[in-house]
Amino acid sequence: MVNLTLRWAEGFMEEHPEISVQVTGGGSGTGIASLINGTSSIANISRELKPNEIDYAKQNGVNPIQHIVALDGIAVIVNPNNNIDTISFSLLKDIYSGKIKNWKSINGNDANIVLYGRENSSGTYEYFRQSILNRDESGRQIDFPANMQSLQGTASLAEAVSKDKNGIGFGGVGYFALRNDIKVVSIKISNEANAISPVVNNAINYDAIRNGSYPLSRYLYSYTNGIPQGNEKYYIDFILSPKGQQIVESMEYIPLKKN
Amino acid sequence: MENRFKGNIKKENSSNSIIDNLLIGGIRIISFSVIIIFILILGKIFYEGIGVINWNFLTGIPKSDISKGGIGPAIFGTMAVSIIMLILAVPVGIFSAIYISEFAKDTFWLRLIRASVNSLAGVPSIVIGLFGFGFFVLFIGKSIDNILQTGMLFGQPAIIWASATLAVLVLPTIIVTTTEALNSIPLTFRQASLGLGASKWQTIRYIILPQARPGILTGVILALSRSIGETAPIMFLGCAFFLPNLPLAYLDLSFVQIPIINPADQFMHLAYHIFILATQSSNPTLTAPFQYGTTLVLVLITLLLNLTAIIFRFRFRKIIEVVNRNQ
Amino acid sequence: MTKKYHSFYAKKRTFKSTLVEKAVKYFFFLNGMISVLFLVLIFLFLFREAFSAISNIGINEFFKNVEWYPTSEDSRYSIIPLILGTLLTAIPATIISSFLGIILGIYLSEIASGRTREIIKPFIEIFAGLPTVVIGFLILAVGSTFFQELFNAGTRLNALLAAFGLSIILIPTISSLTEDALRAVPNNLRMASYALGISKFAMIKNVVIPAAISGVSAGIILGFGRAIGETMIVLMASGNAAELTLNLLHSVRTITATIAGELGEVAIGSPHYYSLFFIGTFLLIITFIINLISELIIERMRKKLKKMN
Repeated sequence: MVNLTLRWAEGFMEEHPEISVQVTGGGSGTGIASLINGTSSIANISRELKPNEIDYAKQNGVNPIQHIVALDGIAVIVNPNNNIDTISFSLLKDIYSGKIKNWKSINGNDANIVLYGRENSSGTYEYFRQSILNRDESGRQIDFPANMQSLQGTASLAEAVSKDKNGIGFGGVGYFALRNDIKVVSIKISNEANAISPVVNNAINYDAIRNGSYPLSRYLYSYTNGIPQGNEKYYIDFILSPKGQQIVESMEYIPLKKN
Repeated sequence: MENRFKGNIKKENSSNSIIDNLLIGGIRIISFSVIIIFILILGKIFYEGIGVINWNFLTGIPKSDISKGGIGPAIFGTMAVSIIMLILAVPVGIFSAIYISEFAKDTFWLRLIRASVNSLAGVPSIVIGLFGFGFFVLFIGKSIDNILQTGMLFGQPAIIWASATLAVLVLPTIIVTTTEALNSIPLTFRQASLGLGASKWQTIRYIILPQARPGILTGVILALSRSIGETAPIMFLGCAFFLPNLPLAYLDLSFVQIPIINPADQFMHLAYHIFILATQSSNPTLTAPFQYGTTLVLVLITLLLNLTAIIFRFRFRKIIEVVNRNQ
Repeated sequence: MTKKYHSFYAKKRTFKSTLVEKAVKYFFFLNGMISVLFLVLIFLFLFREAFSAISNIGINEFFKNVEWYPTSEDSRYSIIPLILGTLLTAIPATIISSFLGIILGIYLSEIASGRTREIIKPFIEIFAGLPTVVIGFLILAVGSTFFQELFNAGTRLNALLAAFGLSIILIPTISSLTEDALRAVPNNLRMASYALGISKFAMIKNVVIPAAISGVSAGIILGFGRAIGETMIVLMASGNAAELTLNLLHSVRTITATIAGELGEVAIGSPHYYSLFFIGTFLLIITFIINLISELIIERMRKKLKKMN
């Protein structure tokens, strides 16, 4: 969500030229780390803080306060040459836990599946692990297989899948919606359920994501140290204002409310 | 009998020379292929990047998730970090080299310093970055904040710590090149100066240093070029994705405000900018010309610096050769 | 009276000037010691954090299993796949660039004419200084597609691709060290072999290279050290999957890329943070030993060449 943060910073400074906003990027881990270490005043991240992270923050004298600022759909993508259009949750789990290794098993070409993912501290990685892989029968957390490639950003992930005919990847839908060199896959919760795609005709399917009929979505958060005051408060207010939410939409994320 | 023997030698020689020529030709072909690959790499960067380079690109501020606008702040940030790095590293480097070449005798201390410089040169840059983060930011920076009660001013990644870390990284480069330059100055210069009654310090100050200047400059330029190209160590030392304002502070002299580099600020950096353009921009295909443009700027800067260093070294060698010949 | 005064004056001056000279010497000495200081600090600081990792996580954890999952609930910190990944990129890179670099060095030292050398040598030297992020970017943007088609590799970003990227920076290092070593071989050896009627190639192969072999091998070892420590190219080109594999066409994760990819995103003081310092310390020790070895070889070569001359 660093690009969204950049636009917010730009828009915010147009309204408040006297305040300077600096943006540092990376995964959500960067934001969390910099908030915990006290190097940022606001961390925009794509997942909730974990209990141990809140503990570390408190140890460092930081009191993180959560603000929900936008919604994001997580899309699964494959190469346009792949004949798979729809994937169910359980298949996705089998693919991303390394159980299914060949596209043939799900009526695709006879080729090994190449898994793409993000760095292990990114919010997208964490979200996908929780909502798709989750836990096995004994309650043990399932991890991605070791041969999943970790790319430095969702952009390079999209780039990789667009050029790898056996690739599959996941990430924020905003990175994929406008691209024709990758295919966004429809998702089914169960085998009987309707398949729903987060992208329809190169546009984000806002309603499906907002009302939850597309199952893979998450909130985006801003964390401040303590209750925001002064500049931080102006910034959070701006994000939640119609103008801030319009920026959300223009960046292919999902605004909290329907405009 | 004798004739046959001769003939044999001749025959062997000619077949030998064919194989010989083939092998030598093979070496030539492989060498030229390598050089051609290098030329192709440079050519690709020039070809793809030259189109976007204009004044706006070089001075503008990045806009719309860094796919428009320019790379002005990245160029400025690179310069800011490098200038402070030079201020920190060059004096220490030159003084160290003077000690090694002018003062030290073959003692334990000289061997220790020599070995340390060599070892320091071999430490991977990512390890130096790790050290810079842990030592400069978290240890030194936080301590300063605790003592001066400055809150979170120094205990966070910032220009000063990136510069300090890069200074550790390039220190060996400066020391080694400067030592070489000083060593290549003929001993007779020193003897003549000392013989005229000059002190050791005067000899260094007025004879050795001016003579070695091009050699020392070579080292400084090489260090600068190396530090500009380093990405890994500065990734966690204050390199920012996007900064709307240049990292400046204003020195208030009541009648005039002088802008100075704010060493406690974060910064944008060309090398890091290439990295994020390649991995994190919202659409790498869309930003491709921008990536090549930024790459070309960085490559041009390092090429020019390296070329200058090579020319300086060449001229320096010539001077020394002339001096040696005249003796 | 005047004479006495004069000598007193002179004495005073010398005393003062020796004091100044001493101070000047100590000033330079202290500057020289800064390198020593920082080397010691780097070792001390990394070891300290690595010991925190050992007491937090336990040394067994780093070598016991074969998985690197530092952010899992059931966190696993094995350095084994990272070591494997590092070797899988560094060794092919060293082999490729030794082959090409040595040939290029031979060409420059023994075959190229003076003028050609004067043009090519600076050009190659310039390449040694090319920022590695530039090569990483080019490999990612252009090289990956090119090599995927060439090798028909299942995995687009893989160890071999990273090795090709590394070779671009290693070739100049190895070729210039080779050239230096070859040119240090006394010319009378060449003359003597010509007089014996040996062909040029045989002379290079049997006389010049054996005489310079320690210098050449020092160059290779130094190149290997550089390959192990390089970050940006492997970060961008290797795909960063911490897989236990020996297949060059699989994606691998190196020690350097792990530090670069994760340090910015880790909470300070967490076991994950310390584990990154542990693998960094491991890298530091390995590169230190490698550099020491090449240093010793170069030293031996110098002595040998001195004897020859």
